[in-house]
Amino acid sequence: MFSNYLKLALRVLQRNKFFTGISLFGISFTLTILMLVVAFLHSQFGAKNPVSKTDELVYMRHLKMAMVQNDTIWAKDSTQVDGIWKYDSTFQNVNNNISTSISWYGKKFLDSYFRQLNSAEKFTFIVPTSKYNVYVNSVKIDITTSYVDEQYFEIFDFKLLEGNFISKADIDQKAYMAVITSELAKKYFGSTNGIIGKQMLVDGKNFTVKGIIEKAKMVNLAINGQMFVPSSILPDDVYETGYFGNYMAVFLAKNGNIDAVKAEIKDIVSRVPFLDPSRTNGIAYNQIEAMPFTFQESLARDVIYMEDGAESLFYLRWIVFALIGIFILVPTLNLINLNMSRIMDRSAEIGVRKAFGADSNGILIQFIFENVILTFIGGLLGMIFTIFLIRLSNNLNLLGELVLEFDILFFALSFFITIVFGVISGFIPASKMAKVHIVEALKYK
Amino acid sequence: MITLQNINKLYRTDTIETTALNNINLQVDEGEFLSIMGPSGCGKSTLLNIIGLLDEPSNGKIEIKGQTVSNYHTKETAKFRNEHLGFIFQSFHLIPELSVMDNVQLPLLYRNLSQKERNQMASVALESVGLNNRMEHFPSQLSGGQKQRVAIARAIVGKPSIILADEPTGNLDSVMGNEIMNILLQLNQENKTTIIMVTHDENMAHKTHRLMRLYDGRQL
Ligand SMILES: Nc1ncnc2c1ncn2[C@@H]1O[C@H](COP(=O)(O)OP(=O)(O)O)[C@@H](O)[C@H]1O
Ligand SMILES: [Mg+2]
Repeated sequence: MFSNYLKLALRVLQRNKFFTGISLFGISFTLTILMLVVAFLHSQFGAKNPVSKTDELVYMRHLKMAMVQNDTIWAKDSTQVDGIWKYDSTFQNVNNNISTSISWYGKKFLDSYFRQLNSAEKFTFIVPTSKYNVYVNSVKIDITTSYVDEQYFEIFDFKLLEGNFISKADIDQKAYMAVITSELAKKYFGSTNGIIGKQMLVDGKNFTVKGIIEKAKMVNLAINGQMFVPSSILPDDVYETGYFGNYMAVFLAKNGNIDAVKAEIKDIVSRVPFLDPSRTNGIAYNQIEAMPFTFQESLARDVIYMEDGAESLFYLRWIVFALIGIFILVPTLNLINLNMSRIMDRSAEIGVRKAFGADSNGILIQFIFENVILTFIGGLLGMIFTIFLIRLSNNLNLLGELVLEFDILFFALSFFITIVFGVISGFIPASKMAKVHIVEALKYK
Repeated sequence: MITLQNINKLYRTDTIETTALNNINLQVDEGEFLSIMGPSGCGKSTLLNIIGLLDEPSNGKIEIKGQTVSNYHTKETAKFRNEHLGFIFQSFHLIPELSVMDNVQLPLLYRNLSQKERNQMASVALESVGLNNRMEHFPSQLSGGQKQRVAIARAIVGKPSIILADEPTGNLDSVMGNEIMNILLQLNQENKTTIIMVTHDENMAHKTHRLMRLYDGRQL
């Protein structure tokens, strides 16, 4: 039965080259975009090294301090001192007479209040991605350095290719040890072989290479460094103003309960005393907020800025769904329309089939099946285009650190999307065909 | 075998009402070859469609092989058509994308048969219309007479007891038309298949057992 339908479907497609061409173009284009979206979401948000525990992590990237005040407007500029960002944003809301400062966390602030969360199994305080210029054989290379502590590599499970991670002893001894990505190793030493124990001169200091890791393939501030060194080598309180500084914190929730971590963080912050204005450039901050977010929430917040990251994620998800929906809807309607216009061509066939014993369901299934075959071919083409575009993006680093991946899950999802698309776009024309009255249908030649 | 009682068929549109069939009573026996004649638009096709359960009468009763049909859109009616009825159309209605073999097999797709059984039955049907050497051809590669022979093979492949043919020779020249007529006569004589045929050709009509004349929806 189905082999018969398949044969027929292929012949019909072959005979109507114009229709087939137009349809396949639309279908493969649509599915290419969808598959790229799937590949993007899967690669960026999927759980894999070095963030296998992506759903159990709570990030504290920014501390917000605000002052409700009447007339004064305060301004601050972002500055970079020795490659380290001091304030990354500061702005005023004049209308509401509120001065708000948002920056990263000071080390002392984190040490005093966030070392003992009951809800966190592990935590790490990081100074992420400071950029340094280094000359190797008079060629300039940029090195992105992250200052980390001993639990960093327990929370982020980087793939260790050689050597060891930064240890507690390294932190305690303020050792100039570095764990570097194989990519940086190749740039700096020209090879990844036999470089454990070798020296690297960065920012005027000599670091000993302790380990080589595979670089993270997604965009995520906490993991996008090329060189990881003990944070203890940084001067203790330099660059810190009040509670602000240049650290972020990441917590691994106990039993994956991230809400408990968020709640505990908020609770702690609510009890933190306000600083004397003399320590905060004269601003009398009277509100403090820690803004703990999951990785997805904090990314969503970069796209749609909301106070609450969960809200950003909520809106972003809906916007993405809506865009995908519209993106699928338009070609679906097109395909439905195209199929509808061809009902006439198949009218006599439907009449004959019904006269010879096909019931409406039989016709329905036949035409949906035919449409699925069409979309399946479009899906295969789309998959080829997608793989090509993924390769292109990865080779040209079009998405920065993000390396798009295609694996079994990607293929399964793409296949699923294709079939769903085929069934949906085939259903309306097929049910119209199934309803055609035999005698009317047979009037067409 | 087939009994029609007080069959009426009205077509209503916004402005006009057409009476396509007016109080038709008909009895066709098993193995009978009945021909229907009448001027264009007198209701011949309408009558044949009603007998073939393709169309619903406005009122009246129809009984085929002891069964009355009340709902025309059910699986059961489809199954009944598949098992007991075979259709031949004036314009052949072969599916252009399918080979002769696949066209002939079409009614068998709606039965529970293996590919092998279907091939076998289709071969037998094609042989009986003398086309077993054209199985892999496509309809576009056949003459009109050959197309209608394929259509006959399709109508008989499922061994129905009743064949309904609406002007089967209408699109053919007289040589090809006679060929087709002979096949139908042979089918009726050898297999005792009941045949009802609409025709415009007096000569052909006279070769059948009985002739029914229609005029403006009425039996004469
Ligand atoms: N779907 C329809 N709507 C309205 N009138 C119809 C329809 N089908 C057939 N008729 C009318 O019914 C009458 C009989 O048609 P038909 O059975 O096709 O005639 P024949 O086959 O004898 O030429 C004609 O007058 C035709 O116009
Ligand atoms: Mg007619």
